[in-house]
Amino acid sequence: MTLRPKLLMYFFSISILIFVSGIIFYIQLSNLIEPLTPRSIPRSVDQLASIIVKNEVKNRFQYQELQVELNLQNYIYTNNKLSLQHYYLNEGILLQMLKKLEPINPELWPILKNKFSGVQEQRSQIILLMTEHKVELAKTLNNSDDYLQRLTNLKDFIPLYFTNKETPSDEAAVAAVKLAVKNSSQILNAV
Amino acid sequence: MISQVKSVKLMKEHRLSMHCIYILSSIFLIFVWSFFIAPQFKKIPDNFSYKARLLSIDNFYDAKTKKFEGDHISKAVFSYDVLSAESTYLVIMNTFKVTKISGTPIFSVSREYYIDPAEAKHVNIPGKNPRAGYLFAPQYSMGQPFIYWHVNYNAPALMKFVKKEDLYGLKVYEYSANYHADQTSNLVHLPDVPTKRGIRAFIELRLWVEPISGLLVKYVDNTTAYYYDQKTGELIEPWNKFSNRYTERSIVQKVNQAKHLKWKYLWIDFGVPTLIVLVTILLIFYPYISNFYSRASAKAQSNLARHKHLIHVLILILILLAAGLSTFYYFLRCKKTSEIYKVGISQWNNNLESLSAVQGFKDGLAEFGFYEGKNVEFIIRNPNSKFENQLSIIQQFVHDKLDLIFTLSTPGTLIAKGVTSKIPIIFSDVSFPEESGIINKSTNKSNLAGTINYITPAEQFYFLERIFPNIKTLGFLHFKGDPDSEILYKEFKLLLNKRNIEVIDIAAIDVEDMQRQLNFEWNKSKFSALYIACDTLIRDKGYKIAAEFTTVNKIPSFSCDKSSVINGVLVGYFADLYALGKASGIKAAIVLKGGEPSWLKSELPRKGYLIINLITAKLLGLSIPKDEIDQADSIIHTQGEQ
Repeated sequence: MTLRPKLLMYFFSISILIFVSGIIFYIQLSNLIEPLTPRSIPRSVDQLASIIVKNEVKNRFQYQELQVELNLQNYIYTNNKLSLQHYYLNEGILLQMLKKLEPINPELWPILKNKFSGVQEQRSQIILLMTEHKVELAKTLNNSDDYLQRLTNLKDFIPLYFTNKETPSDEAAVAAVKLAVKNSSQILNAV
Repeated sequence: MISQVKSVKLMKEHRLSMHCIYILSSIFLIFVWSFFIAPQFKKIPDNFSYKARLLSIDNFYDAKTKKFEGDHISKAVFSYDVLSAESTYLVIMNTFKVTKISGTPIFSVSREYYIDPAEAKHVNIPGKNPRAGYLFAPQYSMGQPFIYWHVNYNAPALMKFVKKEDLYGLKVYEYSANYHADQTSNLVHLPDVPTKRGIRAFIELRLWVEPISGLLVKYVDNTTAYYYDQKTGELIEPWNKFSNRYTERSIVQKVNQAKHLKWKYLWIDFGVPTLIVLVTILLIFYPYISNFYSRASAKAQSNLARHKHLIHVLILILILLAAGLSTFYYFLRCKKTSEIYKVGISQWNNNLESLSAVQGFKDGLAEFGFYEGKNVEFIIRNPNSKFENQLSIIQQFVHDKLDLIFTLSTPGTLIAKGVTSKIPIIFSDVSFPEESGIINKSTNKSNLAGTINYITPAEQFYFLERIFPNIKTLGFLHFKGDPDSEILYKEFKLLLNKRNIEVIDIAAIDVEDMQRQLNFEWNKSKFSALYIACDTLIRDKGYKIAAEFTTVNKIPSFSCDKSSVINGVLVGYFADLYALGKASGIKAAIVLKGGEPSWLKSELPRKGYLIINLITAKLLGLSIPKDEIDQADSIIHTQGEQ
């Protein structure tokens, strides 16, 4: 065999080899990457992060609201200055938290603000009556249907505010991440 | 034989005439291109727009203390926009708008320029303010002086060449001018302006211009403006000492724009004529080339046939070599990850809290496997709370291509943000990152993340109120113009006014002014308690003065500054800067491992740090509730010590 056909044969063999190994490598890589594609994990993780943050904010807000209410009740029924100080402390924290809530649900924000202002208005009235030593009047206002209704409305509305229709399902996001981890572990174990 | 000679002669004559036609055509084409077509491509378009963001530093003069207040950072936008296109000129609006970091407007000026779009020069329109000079700078400048009109000053500046410089791979010329201008008409809101006093600005203006296109890539101005007497013209006192400079992001944008324009101009002015000349040469020499090529190709073909196998082997070797080189390059890139990371730390000042934040940052990094001297190197700098120093430090960090920058304080971080948009910045000791414009939650792309030094006014006030309940008036001591303290003051006011507690603003410009104002307000209103903010002035030297004042006058006080409590302030509830620094270090570790700053949240402290000064409590005759003592993270038993 002369040099020319020999070289041609070498070329052909090397090309076939590169092509075949390339195909194998590509299939392996695509299998490995598929579950890790930017469309699955990062999106799911972002969804989970958003859900976690919303839940954390919701829980802290609800807790703070309860603290304010508890301190108010303590103050009304004990007339203790310490309870009033605790009330002001927790109310201050609650108001700061409220400021940060608008971006979470801009659509429902005016309603939340309105409901919150309604309750705060009544609480301020109660505190004013207490400082003017009109304890019985303060108690009456505290037990009034109007105040209780406002309080219930606010408490019922808070969970709704944090779960609007665009909130993605946490189950789907968790499943996507778990699936990706499972698939990639299987592939790595196989390799 | 004769007929052959004749035909050769005829052919030569024919070729000569063709050559003449080619040369004349090319000269004609170059003429038409250069004088009629090229100017159309080079002229300023009707939709021209130029916008740059600037960092502005103001230092206002306080007439009462006869001192400058100290640097305050603000942001500015500098823009050119075409308003309308007339037959011979464009009407371009040049605007300069400065706002506080919070967005409150400080100064704004707009001027209309009438510009010849072909030469980018001012043209004089009857009835309008006459101007000469360039919109930016002349094209193909060899460093000759030119006249530039800066929108702020509305006076001609004779720009003189200083030096050539390389800016992000672009050759630029630096020009400078020192001149003065009357700004009275733009500052009529100032007291007695323009009735009794005017404003005269003494300007040092520096421009960086791309010499071929004449595009302005960046500018810096350092100006001191004085009040002057309208009758005599004599200077009375300074008004403001300010400077403006492009943010690094804007410089990069303008450099890219200038690179594009430069190559466009070079192509239009030289590329196209050169192409015409080349085509002409090719047409002239085509018969000779074609003849030469046919002979050469016959020779080459015979050589090729002889060495065909050798060529195949060479191609194979080249392919293998290319594959080998790419593998080696990939290996080198992977290997880079094991290098030592360089982290720049600008600690803002030498305050105890700043130092503990830096220590926390280092410990946070170590917790995630980044050990000093092993795989991370810290370059620590102290700007001593000076804006100019901070600017130089961050610019040096950017120049040294560090992997990450750690900054402290709001002004320190804002300056770092203005300098670089590429190197990740992790910040701490910032109270209002969103309000001050450090982070913007609406954008996903950001090179900043960090920890927030914020404790609600309600929590801070609570711990004082437990010890001293009957507060009617609260003095609020802070550094005048500090963005964080100003926001905090508003929050305190909102919180306490509801409870009928009056809040008195005591804004000082330096320690002497602080002493003077404290005495004045104390004698005037006898506030029942004092709050000492934790801004640059307090942390720098002010805490000692404030603490001494409260103990001497027996005023119950509280602060968000640890040093103030150690030195005599009654109580403090604030974010633990060591813990915040550590949380920032953990964020930095994530970024060094390949994470994006935009993935990270800017975190608030989980819990505050309560510190009580028992010596002061004793001095004031106040008893501390037992539960508050139990809650305290630190108690001062001996003055000046923890």
